[in-house]
Amino acid sequence: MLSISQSTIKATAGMNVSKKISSEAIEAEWKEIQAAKLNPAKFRPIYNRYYEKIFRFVFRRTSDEFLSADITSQVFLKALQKLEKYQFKGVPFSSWLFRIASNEVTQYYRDHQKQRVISLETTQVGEMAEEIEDMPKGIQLESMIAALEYLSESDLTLVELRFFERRSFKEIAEITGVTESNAKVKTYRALAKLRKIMIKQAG
Amino acid sequence: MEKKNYNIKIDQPQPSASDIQKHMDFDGLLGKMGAVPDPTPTGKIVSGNFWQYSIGALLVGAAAVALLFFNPHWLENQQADPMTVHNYVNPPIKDIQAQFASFKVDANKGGTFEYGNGSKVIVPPAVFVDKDGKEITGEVELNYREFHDFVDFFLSGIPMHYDSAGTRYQLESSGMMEIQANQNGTPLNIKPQSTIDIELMSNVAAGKELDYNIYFLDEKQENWSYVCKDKIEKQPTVSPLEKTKTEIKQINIAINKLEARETAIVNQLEAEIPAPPKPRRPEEAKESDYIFNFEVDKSEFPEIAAYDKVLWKVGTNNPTFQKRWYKVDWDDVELKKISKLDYQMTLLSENEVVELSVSPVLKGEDLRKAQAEFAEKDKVYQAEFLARQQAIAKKKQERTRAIAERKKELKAKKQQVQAKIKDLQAKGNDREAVEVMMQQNIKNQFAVSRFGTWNCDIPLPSYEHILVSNFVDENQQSYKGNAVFHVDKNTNTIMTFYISGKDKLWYDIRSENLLWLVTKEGKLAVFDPKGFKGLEDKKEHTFVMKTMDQVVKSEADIRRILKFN
Repeated sequence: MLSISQSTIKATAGMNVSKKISSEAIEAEWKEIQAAKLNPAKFRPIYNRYYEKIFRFVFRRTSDEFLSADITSQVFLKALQKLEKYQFKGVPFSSWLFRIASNEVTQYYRDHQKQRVISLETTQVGEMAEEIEDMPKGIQLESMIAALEYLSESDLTLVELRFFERRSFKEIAEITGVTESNAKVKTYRALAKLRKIMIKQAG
Repeated sequence: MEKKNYNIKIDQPQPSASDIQKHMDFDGLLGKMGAVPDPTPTGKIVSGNFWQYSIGALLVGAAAVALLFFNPHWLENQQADPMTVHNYVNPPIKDIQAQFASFKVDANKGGTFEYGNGSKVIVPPAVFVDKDGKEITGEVELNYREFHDFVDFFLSGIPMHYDSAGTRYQLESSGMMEIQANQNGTPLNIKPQSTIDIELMSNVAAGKELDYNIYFLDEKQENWSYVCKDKIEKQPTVSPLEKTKTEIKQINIAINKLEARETAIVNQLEAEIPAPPKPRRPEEAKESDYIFNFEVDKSEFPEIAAYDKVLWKVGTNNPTFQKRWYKVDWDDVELKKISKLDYQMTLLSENEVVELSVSPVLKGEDLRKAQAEFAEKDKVYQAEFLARQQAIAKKKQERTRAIAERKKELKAKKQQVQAKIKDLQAKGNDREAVEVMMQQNIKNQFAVSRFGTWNCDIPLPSYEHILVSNFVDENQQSYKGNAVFHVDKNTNTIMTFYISGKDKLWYDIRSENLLWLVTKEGKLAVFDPKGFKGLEDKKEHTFVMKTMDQVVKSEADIRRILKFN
């Protein structure tokens, strides 16, 4: 039986979401995007830079290599098709790509009515437990994982982005299309719901 | 509370980077977009001196094609001017490029073709296909050129770094070449599963470990792709003196060929622009000449109709002329025009027939009249002649401009080589022996499966010293956005970065370093290698670049400027 040990919590103490990207680098990327708007062939460096990231994002949600390849291909196709409308907002272009990827995954499950895949590592569940205020004592990892089953799709997405993929609230906001403070509030509300579910299950 | 039945996967294995790479297909994506893949190197933001990042240990080994995966740290460290877009292959001086050697190949037979320095291209039969994979027959044009030193690399604009899984290596070359083929201007490919063998003659510093790899320049991926290990064969060492003498011979042959082409062009132009008819100066009848006087039917000879009396002088080309013919009572005389003003006169009598070549001569009023006419015609002729000369000169200049430039380059190179010969001869055998010892001739052997640029390289470890660098001209005006080129004497490579302010320059303090850039006016601005002395303990330095007076017009100009002492 797994338990949330002190060592697991310690391992998460330094949890810091994705590294900051300099404004110069973001601007440089914006120049690449502008070039790609004029000539789609110029999109290649962006494609090369983000393909693996997007693929992994999709794979975590499908657990199927070939399906992930199909969806990733669709993500980049949509990105290219919509590139003309893309506006630079001072955040990495990757956030926009992840947003498209998130929508594509949702669309896939909607169309195929399959069970949505959630990939997680046991250490990540520990990190999440550390964030839950007034975590009931004696809660096992299995209970937390089981509690995830009762979260709504939107709440689960927030938990995934924050705890299973270690993204900043700024990135989560960009991907989910809400403000940064809203992303933070919603994520902690999702955690509170999780706590409530766990207490209910324990009781 | 409703259970959603998510499919939860715990600690499941993730696909590897290479598994993911297999699914990448940007060209396929473009195809879906209806866009045509960019045939030219794709535009790319190139950072400041980011070649220096994480060169680290030599890890390349047998790595496969490496792609630029996203690396936030890498992006964070970029120093590029974010507003500047540079091509991946970016020749800094577009007008000065290495010339291709062109070979005509019978596609059915193939053949072995030798480059000027002894390198060989060995083409098997039936190796060319068109873009649809259809085998090509008939004559194919094979173009081949090589790049050997930092000046060649500089002019080519080909990046000499290699990115592997986000880590950057500098490539030191033991020879680089580009090979292309076309039929009637249509580019061709090499048939799948077929190869063309290359024997690339080169030299490396003596004592260098001959452990090089072969890389292909993947312009689409904007990276060098590792292909295989380089098979190197040591070659006999030729003394620098012999080598330079051979070089002179090759230059002379090349100059002669260019001059022959120039002559052919002039001949063609002279045929295209016909010369005006040159009037002939009227000749005065002199007492000393042998002259015949007879009546001529002027209707048969309209050219002399204007004159009252035309006399006929026996040409000097009649050496057997006999004075007694003056005294013969000729029954008849016949005159026949044989050229513009030369005639054949036949004297006939019962016993004798004499054929003489004659020309018309005049005297008195007829002569004056003819001279006046000649003066007028000659004036017109001189003007037409001059106009023709000018027209030919103009067209010649247009059609032989490239030849003239190449000839000028070759002559400058010849002067350099001649000076080198003098230097070698003056310094005697000791110096020559030292120079021979300093380099090792090698033959790089490999097979190419694609047309493009191939490089025999070794990835370099990082330099230890970092200097935060700024670049200004003599008037303390900062450079911004210019490409800076950096080489060191001990390493056959070139490092390039674009100035964005406080750029990091990584260099070897034990070597001689040379830095330069190309100004917007096309001049070279150079930092003297001696200027590096005393910088060893510095963390930051402003390089004051010395701008050369003249715009560089040839490779020879560049070699004159960019050299180590």
